[in-house]
Amino acid sequence: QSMSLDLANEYPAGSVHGQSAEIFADTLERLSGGDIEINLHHGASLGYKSADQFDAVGDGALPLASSFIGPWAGIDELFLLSSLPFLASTPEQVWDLYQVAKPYYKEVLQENNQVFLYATPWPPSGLWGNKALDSMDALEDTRIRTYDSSGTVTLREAGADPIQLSWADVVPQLSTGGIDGVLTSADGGASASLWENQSHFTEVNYASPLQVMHMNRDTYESLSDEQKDMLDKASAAGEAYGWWVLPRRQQENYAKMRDQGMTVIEDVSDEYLNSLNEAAQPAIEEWRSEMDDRGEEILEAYEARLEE
Amino acid sequence: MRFLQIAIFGLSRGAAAIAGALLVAMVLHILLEIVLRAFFSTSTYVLDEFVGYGVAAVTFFSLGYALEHGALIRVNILLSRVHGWVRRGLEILAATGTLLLLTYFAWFFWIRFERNWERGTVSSSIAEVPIWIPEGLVLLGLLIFWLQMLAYLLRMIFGPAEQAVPYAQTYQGQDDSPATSDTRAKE
Amino acid sequence: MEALIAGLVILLLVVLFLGLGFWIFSGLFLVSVGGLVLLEGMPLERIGIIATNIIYSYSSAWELAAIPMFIWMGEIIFRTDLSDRLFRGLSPLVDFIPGRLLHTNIMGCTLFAAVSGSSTATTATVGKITTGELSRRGYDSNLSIGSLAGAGSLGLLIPPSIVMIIYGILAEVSISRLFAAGILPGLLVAAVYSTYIMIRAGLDPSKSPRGAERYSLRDRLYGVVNLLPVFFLVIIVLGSIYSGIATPSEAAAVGVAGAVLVTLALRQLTLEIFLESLKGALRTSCMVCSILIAAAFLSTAMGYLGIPRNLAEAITGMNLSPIALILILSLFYVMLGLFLDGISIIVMSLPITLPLVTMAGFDPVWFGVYLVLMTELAQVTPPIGFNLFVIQGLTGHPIGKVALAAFPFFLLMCLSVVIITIFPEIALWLPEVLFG
Ligand code: NA
Ligand code: NA
Repeated sequence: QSMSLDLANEYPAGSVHGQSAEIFADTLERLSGGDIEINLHHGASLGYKSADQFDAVGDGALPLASSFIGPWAGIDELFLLSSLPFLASTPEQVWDLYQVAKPYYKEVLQENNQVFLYATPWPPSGLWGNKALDSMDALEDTRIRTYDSSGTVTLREAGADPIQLSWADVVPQLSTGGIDGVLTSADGGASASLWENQSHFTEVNYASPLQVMHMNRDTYESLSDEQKDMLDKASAAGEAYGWWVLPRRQQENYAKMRDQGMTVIEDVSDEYLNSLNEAAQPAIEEWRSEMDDRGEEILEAYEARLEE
Repeated sequence: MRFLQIAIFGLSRGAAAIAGALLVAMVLHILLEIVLRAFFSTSTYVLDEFVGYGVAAVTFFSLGYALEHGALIRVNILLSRVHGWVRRGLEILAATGTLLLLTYFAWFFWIRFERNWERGTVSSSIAEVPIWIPEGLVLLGLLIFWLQMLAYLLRMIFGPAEQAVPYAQTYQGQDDSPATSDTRAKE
Repeated sequence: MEALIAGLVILLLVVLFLGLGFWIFSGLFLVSVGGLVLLEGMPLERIGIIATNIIYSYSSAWELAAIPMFIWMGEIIFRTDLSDRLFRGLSPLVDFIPGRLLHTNIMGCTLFAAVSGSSTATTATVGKITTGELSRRGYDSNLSIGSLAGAGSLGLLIPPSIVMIIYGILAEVSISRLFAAGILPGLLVAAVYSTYIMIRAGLDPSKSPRGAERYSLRDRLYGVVNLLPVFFLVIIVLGSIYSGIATPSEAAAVGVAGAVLVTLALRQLTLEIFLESLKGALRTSCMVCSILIAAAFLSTAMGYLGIPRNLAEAITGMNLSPIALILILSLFYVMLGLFLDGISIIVMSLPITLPLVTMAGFDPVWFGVYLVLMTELAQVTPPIGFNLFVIQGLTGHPIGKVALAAFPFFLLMCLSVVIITIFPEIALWLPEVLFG
């Protein structure tokens, strides 16, 4: 049977996840010969933020959504995993962590009347600033905007002064000198043209949190077996695109930033990374202590996988 | 009847007093944040979250109070031209429709509240505030407003006709409405 | 075609519920629920879930918080003699300008726009201070209300601006550039309004009565002294933003604190006045915020119904020349603006209109300024226009009268759109100079 489904996404159409959602929707429409039509609502145009979308999808207010899972940590600590600082630095590690955690994500969504379709990573967060933030000395007393509590804890531990601001206030605060730097990805900073206020980007691969495509379970059950198969294929296409584009997007953004006269620092010393890693331990410990057995299971499986 | 009206308006005023205190607290929290950031390079880390809860609670807690003062505006093209029973009929229609709407929303807010309570949902900030608290405040404000709307409806149905209409000012500038007498206090 | 029918049904529902005299917020909720049931056949259970999700999320948003605080600041100024001093100070100074104090709305809003990022807060704060005073002094109410409605929306055009921040994030355009681009067009709009007032008042001097006084040089100098408290307040608030001490969203709290300090220093603020101002702020901000929350749900409903998207897609199919495109887009935005508030107009249409416009060769920074002007138009058009609601709430004039009074200023704003379309440099020159 033919159907028309709304898909909400908090971020702009041109963002990595916006594009991955487009690929997913196009593939599904093409495979179904137009029987399944997807109405994409990018840029929070339906009024939902990622935090709202968990229940909106579970309750059937939305059949489909693409959500940043960090804000879901208040529902289940599990969703903080991919935001934990310096746990997974390379794209391969981010993928490994995702593979280990996927069954757990599926289970929580299942319990909340929804289906996990696929996840794509956010480009890794780094440090925007007006100087190279490539040593613990440089971090000392630098006021940096963070986006979640583990970032706040970690940066404070590292000797910086973390400041929490709404994203809308970031540019005004940078231009007036209220803050010195921003913890965000090259992608996030580029989309806000942060180069007009900042001169350096230091790649530290702080974290690559996940964005999840999820579907209401009743909507899913109403699909025929054939349609579920198409959905799997479309999910695979959206996921493949999201992971494929990640390193390319990163290099594109670096080129754009250099073009704007910025200095991009891609190789910081291992010593610095080790110190940052150490500063991240309290945040990770806190997560581990607040999680049930799943936390230990996941971290062990992840470490085992890294050693392979 | 009279006692009921007084009691319900008392409740609305009490809620508005809490809303006023919350507004003051919001201002103080922002000032504290500014001082912390400017002089101590630190932060309360929960400013946008707490002020957000504040503005939701302030709005919903002052609904009943604003209604009684005629501050919740309406389009008065028709209302200002009709009198007596027609006017009373329109008032009853508007109040009944709004009451149904509030019941409908309150029910679904109750479902959200219950789920957040059972699931133990907290905010994802450093403060980990249980979400049932801010959502419960919105629900509570909605229920107080529901009572005030009920009181308004009863007044429209049972009040003497000549009294029902002046009570139901739509903010068109008649001098006896609380709202207009208030905005003109300076003159 | 389907979108047009859907739009028509929504219009009928708006006329029905608002016209019958429902409170505006409950009327808007009922319109949205009715639209989703009638046009989409959505079950009431799903609508209830959607509505409560949106209501909670929107009402607890940080972005809304500046509104009650700015309104409170206006209440403090209004209830102490700060507003009186302002007018006593300005009167002798503007005595020789045709229109005299009628320019206070425009000047006040332009200045306040540099502090506040929202047009609703601008209109409510400035209007609270000016409208009563102007009518008491016998100024023409149509010009007074109309200029307030028109100039209140400058809050969005002159930085800081919430709408520009959102456009900047969605269109990936630099927010600093957008802010710079809004300044000259904002001043242009203000100048156009003032010119209009001078012409109208010049033709009919009774619109701006001189009052009994004749002013000496001494009066004028003394007038400047009277302006000092408000001037000081403006400096505190502006200074806190532009020195980086406060973010634009936090400036409202600085404004409240400043107003309390200034009135305390002048021995104006008693506990009673403080409490009265707080009560007044609760009533007005409750009205404004409840309508904004209901309008947010209406936007969501329109999104589910796909009305803005379908209309924008229809425009894509037309293959228009650049000028025809802007003309049709303007009509499209004015139509959407009848029902929606500024931000939702932008977020719902942008994914379709932005590529169209940039392909036609328009600069995205220019388009941002254009869109802000479009959302400003939406603030003053009935049936759903926020500046109109706010002014109805402030003055008690019926909405029809407010809308009629605002109409000339609507046309003047259209004229400004034409001017910046012909001379895009008005918007683009300053960012070019500042950022290269
Ligand atoms: Na502004
Ligand atoms: Na409008």
